[in-house]
Amino acid sequence: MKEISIDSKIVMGYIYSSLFWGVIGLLLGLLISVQMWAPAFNFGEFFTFGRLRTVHTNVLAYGLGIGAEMGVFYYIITKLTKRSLIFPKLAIANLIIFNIGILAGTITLFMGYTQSLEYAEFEWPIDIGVVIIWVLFAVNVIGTIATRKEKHMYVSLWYILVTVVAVAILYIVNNLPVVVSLTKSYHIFSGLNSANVQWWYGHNAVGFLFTTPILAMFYYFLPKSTNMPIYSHRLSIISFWSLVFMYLWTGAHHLVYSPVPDWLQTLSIVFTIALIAPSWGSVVNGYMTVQPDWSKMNSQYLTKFFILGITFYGLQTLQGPSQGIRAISSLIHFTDWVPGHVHMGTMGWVVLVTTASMYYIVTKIYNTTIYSEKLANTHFWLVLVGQVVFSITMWITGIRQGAMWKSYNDDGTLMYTFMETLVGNYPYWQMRTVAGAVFIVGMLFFLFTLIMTVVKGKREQSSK
Amino acid sequence: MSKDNSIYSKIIPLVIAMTVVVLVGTVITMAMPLLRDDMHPKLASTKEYTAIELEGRNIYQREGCVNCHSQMVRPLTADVVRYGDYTKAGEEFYERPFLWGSKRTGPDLARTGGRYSDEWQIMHLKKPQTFFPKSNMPSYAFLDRPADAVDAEKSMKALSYPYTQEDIDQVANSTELEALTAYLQSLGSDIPDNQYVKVDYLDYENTMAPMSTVSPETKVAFVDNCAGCHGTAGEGTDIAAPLSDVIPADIIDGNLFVSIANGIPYTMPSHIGIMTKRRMWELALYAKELANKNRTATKTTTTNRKMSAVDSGVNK
Repeated sequence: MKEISIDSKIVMGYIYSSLFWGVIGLLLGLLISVQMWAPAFNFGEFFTFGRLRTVHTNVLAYGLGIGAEMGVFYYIITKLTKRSLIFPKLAIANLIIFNIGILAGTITLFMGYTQSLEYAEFEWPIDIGVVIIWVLFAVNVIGTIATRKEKHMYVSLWYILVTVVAVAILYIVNNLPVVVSLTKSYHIFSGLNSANVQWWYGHNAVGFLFTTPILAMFYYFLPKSTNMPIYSHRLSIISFWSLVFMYLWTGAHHLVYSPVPDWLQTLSIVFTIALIAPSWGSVVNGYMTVQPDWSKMNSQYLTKFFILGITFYGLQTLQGPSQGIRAISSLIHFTDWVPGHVHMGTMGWVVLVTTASMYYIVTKIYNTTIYSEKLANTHFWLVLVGQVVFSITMWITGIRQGAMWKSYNDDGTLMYTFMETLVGNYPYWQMRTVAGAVFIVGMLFFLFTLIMTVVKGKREQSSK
Repeated sequence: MSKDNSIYSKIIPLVIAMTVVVLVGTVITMAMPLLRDDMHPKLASTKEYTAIELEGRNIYQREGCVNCHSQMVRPLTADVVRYGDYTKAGEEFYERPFLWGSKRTGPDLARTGGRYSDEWQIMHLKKPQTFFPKSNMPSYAFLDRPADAVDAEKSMKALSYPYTQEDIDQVANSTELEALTAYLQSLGSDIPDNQYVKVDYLDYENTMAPMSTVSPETKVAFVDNCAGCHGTAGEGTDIAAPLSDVIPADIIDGNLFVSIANGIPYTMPSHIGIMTKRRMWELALYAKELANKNRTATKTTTTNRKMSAVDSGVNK
């Protein structure tokens, strides 16, 4: 039997690791969704909502998200540079450090060691680990690309490179601590600057962990799986530079109506609206790529993952900017609308594109075909329906509660107590739990199909 | 598309170009504000946290309270009426990190200091459903354990906040619930009279009274908003004495109305933001009616008197 290459083993190692963390993160998500309407499901100190919500977001962003990105990136890089990874042993060591880091990070968050900065909750010793992981990753990425055998650098490589650069800057700056002890630190920035730096980080973490990396995958795997060239390289160049330039200006749209100076809020809102253009540049590029032959949606099972994925990216990048507008922010900020928005991006765009990329990679690495297109399609429909119901229920109850918060009686007093506005969420939160469960079942279909494809590939190899 | 000698085939210039492009917005919107005066103003009343407040804040962080509670009242009428004066930049001087949050699964807490008694806060943390049966807040009964004075002292040192040995001893002699409560009671205290909307007895004495009937809706409102502390029939609970003890028989209706509307610091929350003035008048009448009923019915039992709400409010 022919062994798969060391590069392929590394890629598979990252994929398996990310799926392991993914399952944990998703199940915790399901539990906290139940806790939202049934407080009896908070168990003792370590399983209360306040701690678990942080574990949920971090395990999925760092364990599933970054794990998957590192694996898929290594695959894309070796293909686009036409060479193997420059430091394979370093990549294996990094995989081990990555898993130890995520495990340590998860445990410390369960213990309540948190910096209370959204998506930067890990305490400073874990941050050091994250930086080490990222630097080792960067060394391999930049080293391999620098010594590539293919002169031309395809757009996916630029997206990978900018991800490496931007995440490093963002992560290091926002995690600068005033150290109290091994398990406790305070933000080095205080007050308005604490808020402004955090949301410069927070918004761009989304940009450079869930936008540019997924675009790198999209630009590579959509043409690969459809066998159709990308519609316009020029459009991809324009989109790339304008996206990367404008993203960094937009953090303060999370701070609308806060004490942060108006000029900062307004500046960020303007750039937020402008960001629609480069985002839709990629959306249009994706649609136009498939334009010559839309029957691929039917004949090639991965096409629909990418096209629906980029569609949710397009919706996300219209909805997000609209949320920055003051009038809309005043209604939906602090409500469930926002988790609805976030989950369309993660469960729609990120998951559809990433899982489709993984299907493609596994069939290539094991030189086989998908174990069952029918199961992959079931996976597709379950995660699609789960995500859409999740997002829509949250949007409805977000507007509902936001409107109740600002309903007045004739004499100028407020119509509803806080509790009255809260209990109206319960039926929607229950529907969200059901939607989340449907999504998770879809993800289990994905896991099964992916693993069975590997098994099938190995069996075919050994029988040769 | 890209020519062989273009930037797209040279990795070092390309990475440098990307870094520069990423840094433009970063410098202007993140780094430059660090140096600007309008980013770190300070109110004269804004002081460092005390040791027990800071330890409480550490616990607030540890338990992820920020995941459900915002601490940022927006300058919007609806926010200000419900919670109090909007959050000022100058209050944030010592906030490391800021704890504004991004979700209000529970109510905003920026102005919660002084709205309730310490006792209420502790009982509520232990079992929120005591006061709000439909609340989804978890029980924090596990915080009924000694607070970590060593951690508190280290934290005070790291931030160079002034403290004395007594301050640290106070933490050592407190539970985590008490430390957390001390922190909650400090929220909003930089703005002394932060309750934005208030009623004045004189304004409403003549327009609203006299009123003699109590609607069924008001009785429901009493159960939802008052019974948690006062009991469904005003008989009192662990946290509040019977209404007959706190409402003197000869009370002036307007005084009772104003107490319900504006609240009584560190004793009873205000209600002016969340119910109509008519409803509050009816509640005043209903409470008085229940108090009188109690007075005649329960001459025999002596309830332990926790506090006399109206009296303590008048004295403050």
